[in-house]
Amino acid sequence: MKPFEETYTAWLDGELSPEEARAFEAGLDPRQRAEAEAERAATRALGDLLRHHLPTPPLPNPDFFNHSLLERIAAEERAAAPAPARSGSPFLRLFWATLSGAAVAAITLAAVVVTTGAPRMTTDFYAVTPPGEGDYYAEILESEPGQPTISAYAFHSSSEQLTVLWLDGLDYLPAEP
Amino acid sequence: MNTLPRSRPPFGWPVAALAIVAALAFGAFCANAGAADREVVWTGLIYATNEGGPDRTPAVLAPYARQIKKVFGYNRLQLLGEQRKVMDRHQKQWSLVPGKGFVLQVDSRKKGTRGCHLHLALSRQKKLLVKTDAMLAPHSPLFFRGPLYGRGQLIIAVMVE
Amino acid sequence: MREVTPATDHDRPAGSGSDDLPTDETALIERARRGETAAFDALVTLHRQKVYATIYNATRNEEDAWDLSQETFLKAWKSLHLFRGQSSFFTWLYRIATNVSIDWLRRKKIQSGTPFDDTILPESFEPGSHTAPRREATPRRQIENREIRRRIEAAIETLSPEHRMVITLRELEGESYEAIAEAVGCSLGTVMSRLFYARKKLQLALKDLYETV
Repeated sequence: MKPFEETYTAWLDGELSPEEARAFEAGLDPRQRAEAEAERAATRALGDLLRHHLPTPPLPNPDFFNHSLLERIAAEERAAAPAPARSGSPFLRLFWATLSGAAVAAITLAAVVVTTGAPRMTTDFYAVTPPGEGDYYAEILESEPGQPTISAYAFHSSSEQLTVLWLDGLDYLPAEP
Repeated sequence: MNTLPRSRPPFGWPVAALAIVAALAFGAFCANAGAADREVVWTGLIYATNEGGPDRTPAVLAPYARQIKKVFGYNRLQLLGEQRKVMDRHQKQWSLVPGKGFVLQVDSRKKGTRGCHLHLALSRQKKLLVKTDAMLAPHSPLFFRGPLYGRGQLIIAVMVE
Repeated sequence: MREVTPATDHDRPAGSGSDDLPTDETALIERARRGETAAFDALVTLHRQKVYATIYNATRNEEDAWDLSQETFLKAWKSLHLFRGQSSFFTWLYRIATNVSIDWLRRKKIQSGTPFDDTILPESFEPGSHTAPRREATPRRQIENREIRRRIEAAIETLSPEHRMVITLRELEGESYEAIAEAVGCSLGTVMSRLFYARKKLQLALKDLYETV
């Protein structure tokens, strides 16, 4: 980004101080000044057009908005609360515990089989059809942001052969001098 | 008649079963992982910008420069830092530090038929930014869109060589 | 849109806090941090319109803006412990709202399969015939206004989420460069750069509109 564009944008918006504006205008020849003034008029006209034709409606049903939000908060807090002590037949609990443990065992052993390259594993394992040898292949299987203000999602461009884990909400880093 | 003990494991039988099975699976994995080759993993910290100056796209990124520029919307790429590590099959957790306080941790990896399954955690100054599972074929980099930096953008690239 | 009976005190969850709420925002934030939903409810009431406006201007859809506004406040509730008072509460909330909007815009673009493209293209919209005098009959003007609005929204749709946020925050909400930079999480230079390119792109697409309307 060249500094000129920053200064120009600020001049168009009237954000330069009087001294800065004078210095900027002094650097323009008459033709450039006329073009800049025309650009300033166009910028204002564009802003007027947007504001006139894109009004912002008020929040509909504002009381319900709050009510709905508080209900969601209460529901999430209920869901996060520890489960009450179990009651019921201990034999039934043992049955379900065994069944779930067996399911976990089956899944884990299947994963071990996959990693040892069992011949029965086919390309169906992959979410996408694997490309040929030497082709670009980068697949994001799962992602989870580390902070509540960060969002992460996978972006894959087939045409550009590029996979990006797109992070939003990261703090800006100023460049070192 | 109730023959079960009154007390039970703090987190329930399924978690206890998982712990036992996971231990067995880990043993099986270790036994079978002996055949895995060593891999070299490279990570780089890229500064993408539209500022003027010579284009110093590093050679390692040259095959992807056009795509990176188009997707991210910048026309110059500069490598601010990089690190390369040999992944030893006995190492379970290791870190790559490409620069500017970024740390890329790899907790474990398995080799699939098409690429390497990596568990990655990207942090900066001890603050976890994102965790991800990715499958990467050799020379197929994954890019993390990092924060805006100066007058451009930081991009963290990771690649199995 | 949703038609329901407004909430009453009977609907408030038990233990949500005293009805005797302070008017000072700092005190409300402190009480909300301690889990008092009544205090958080008061904060929501203070800021909901502005949050909704910001998100609506970015998404141009009432239902989505409503949902995303809820999501914004839900995220704020969950991360209140991270608010350290280094900026105003609204600035912090604004940042969450803009992130939520940008994420939604990105997901929408990915789902539609549209690649990111912020190159400035030649005008690709057919110019409408807006040669009717301004004092035309109201129904015709309404039709023209609808068409103008459709074209404007279509032009804004072609911007990347970041450019879209910056142009709507500046032009529709009149925010300063500093407020925009803080909300979007970028430098002042980046704000101005994005404004510059967003305006260029919209001018190319809409020039015939603001020169004749």
